[in-house]
Amino acid sequence: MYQKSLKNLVSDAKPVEPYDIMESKRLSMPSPDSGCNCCGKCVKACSGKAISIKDDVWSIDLGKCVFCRDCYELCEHMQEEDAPHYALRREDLVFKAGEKKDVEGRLPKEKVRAVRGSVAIRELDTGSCNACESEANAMGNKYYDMERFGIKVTPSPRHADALLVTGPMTRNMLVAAQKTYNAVPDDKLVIACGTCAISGGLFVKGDVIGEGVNDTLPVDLYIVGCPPTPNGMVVSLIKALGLRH
Amino acid sequence: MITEIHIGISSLAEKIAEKLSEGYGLMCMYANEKGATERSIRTLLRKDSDIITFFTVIEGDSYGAISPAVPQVRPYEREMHEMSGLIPEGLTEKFGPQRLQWAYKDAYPLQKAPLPEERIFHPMPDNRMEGDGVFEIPVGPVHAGIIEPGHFRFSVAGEPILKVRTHFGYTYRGIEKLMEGRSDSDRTRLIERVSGDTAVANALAYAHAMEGDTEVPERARYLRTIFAELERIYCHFGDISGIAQDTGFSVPAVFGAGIKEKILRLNEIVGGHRFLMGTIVPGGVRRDISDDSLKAIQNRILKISFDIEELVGMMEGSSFLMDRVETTGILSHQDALTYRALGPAARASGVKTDVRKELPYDAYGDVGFRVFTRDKGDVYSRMLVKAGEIVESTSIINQCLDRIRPGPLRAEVTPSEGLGLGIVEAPRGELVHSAEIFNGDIWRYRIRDPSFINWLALERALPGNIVADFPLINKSFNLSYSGNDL
Repeated sequence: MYQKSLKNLVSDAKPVEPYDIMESKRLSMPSPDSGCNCCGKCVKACSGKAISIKDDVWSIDLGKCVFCRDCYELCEHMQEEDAPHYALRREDLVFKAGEKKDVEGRLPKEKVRAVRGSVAIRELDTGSCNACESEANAMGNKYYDMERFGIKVTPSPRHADALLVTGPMTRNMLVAAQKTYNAVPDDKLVIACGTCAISGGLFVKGDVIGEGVNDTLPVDLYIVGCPPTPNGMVVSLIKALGLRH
Repeated sequence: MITEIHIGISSLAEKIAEKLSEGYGLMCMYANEKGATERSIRTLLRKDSDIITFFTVIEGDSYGAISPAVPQVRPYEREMHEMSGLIPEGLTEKFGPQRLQWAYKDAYPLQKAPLPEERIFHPMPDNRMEGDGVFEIPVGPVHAGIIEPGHFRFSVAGEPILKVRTHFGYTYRGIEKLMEGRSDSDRTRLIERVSGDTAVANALAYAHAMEGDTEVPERARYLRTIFAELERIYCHFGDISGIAQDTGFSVPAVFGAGIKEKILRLNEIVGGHRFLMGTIVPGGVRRDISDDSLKAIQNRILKISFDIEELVGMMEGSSFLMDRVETTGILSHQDALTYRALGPAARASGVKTDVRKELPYDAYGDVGFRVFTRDKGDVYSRMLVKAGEIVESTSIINQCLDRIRPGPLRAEVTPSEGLGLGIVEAPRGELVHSAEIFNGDIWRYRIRDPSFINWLALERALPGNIVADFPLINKSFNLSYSGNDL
């Protein structure tokens, strides 16, 4: 059986997904069509307080959205749109009704000086629900295989180029998070991964510091999702850091 | 069947001890605030399907400590002290922080009055063991792998561990407080994020707590069972592959992680979310799943029984892996009983406990399955129990697929007043949600994750093992930090 298993595993048929497929699989975000009359039903139902209507302009903040799909069930005018994998600025994650913009830019050269073809990341959990951890672990499985793009997880922050922060930054974790941040060598990047890390998500009224990681650590990259998909994380790292694919 | 008994504080310890000696297990204990209810302590005990709750009204904030007479109460008493501000009198030692390293001055997190801004730092209690050549190794809260934060203090003499203390609270977000005064959909979203990989079990327990006597439609009951078992399967595959990973045997580790990924993708097809968040709501399920999805589940399930056989075969075929897992991290039968260990950890130590059998909910009463036990209590036993449960889960799903018929998906729920209980078998063990509902709103919501108990069992399983085996033992229990901290 062992021999047989080895033969199955070490075969020509690789399950790894090509970059293009990984890039095209996106989370969906709601966007109302022209029939929307700003009745405010979706605003009231939104658990993450992501949808808002101001001066008859409908907008959604993907940094607060938990992708629960409640709004689709409420309103027939709600359409599914492809959500971006990531954004470089917090305000880029706010989308108006029907708005299409390309927010998936590349980080400026001086930011990614430490990254030359490969990146070592250190995962830092600041109070997440362990779904983000599970998905970060999945980045290494044989489907996504992040190491083929030069993405590596290091055990120590001292060897890391980037911190992948998940969770809303709980009060108890603050000191440890700052110590970890200080232990990373200079030219470091901070990646806020998931809704909790971007905006505090559902826990913003709980025992957490500020609204998201940005209030305590300088965030360079926001990865969207609750939790972000493994392909979303891998693609975000590749596109934002300019890794070869 | 729930029996509610009102008793005074003076006889509470005696009554609990009496029930424990009759074979009841202590499920949960928590304190209520004054207001809609009296200032009171709620105790929940269970023996198979028989549930007893003690409701004890107390005067003021202090009461005579129960834990000196009944040691099992200790973790709950510590929780009540920290979260609800109750002061147990007559304890010789002071409780250290369980969740709050930054405590409030003259206030506690679950109080109804607004909380003060000022916080006081409570350092962790020292765990120093003294003697020739005894060292202390602090580990965490930031660990080497991609896991959650927790702090461990190992006292070692050479390689073997003498004693371990766990310190948590790093993922404390205050979920129990956030549950109060929210709408139903908000609470469901929140409860699914108590512990991401137990999303279905948590949502299910919440639904049961809210439903009361509501009759859930048949199709919804079967769909819930299928979702819960899918979650169990991917969790257990992750654990077994993690055990292989921690012994350094990459081939089965990669193989197991691949199957976990396949099930997560199946989840996305059938439930719209990789962790099946947003599938279960009080009263039923949120969306129907198509016949094509049912077919997809059936196809995947067929292959899984072969996959698990291959995975375990691969691992058992390697003598160096067996050297690592056999006789490592033994949780003795006696300890499992004393600490009331839950889930696969208890079943690996020969304790036949399973909520699905003892207190059947949803469709578990209609399907036949076996409770898988082993009696050695080591890492290998836990691995085999999990592997056996995967096979049983595939059989449960198959039976559900055979019996599922078209029908309504959701019933109207009128929340019951008073106590609402949700007890389900999560992948990690018995999960208890208890809600005190008044005028349709939640007055107090208590979540007792199986990890809350099993961390204590893990502390018992570690002494005598070498430090290098800690990740392996930890992985074989695979406990949730966020479920423990809330």
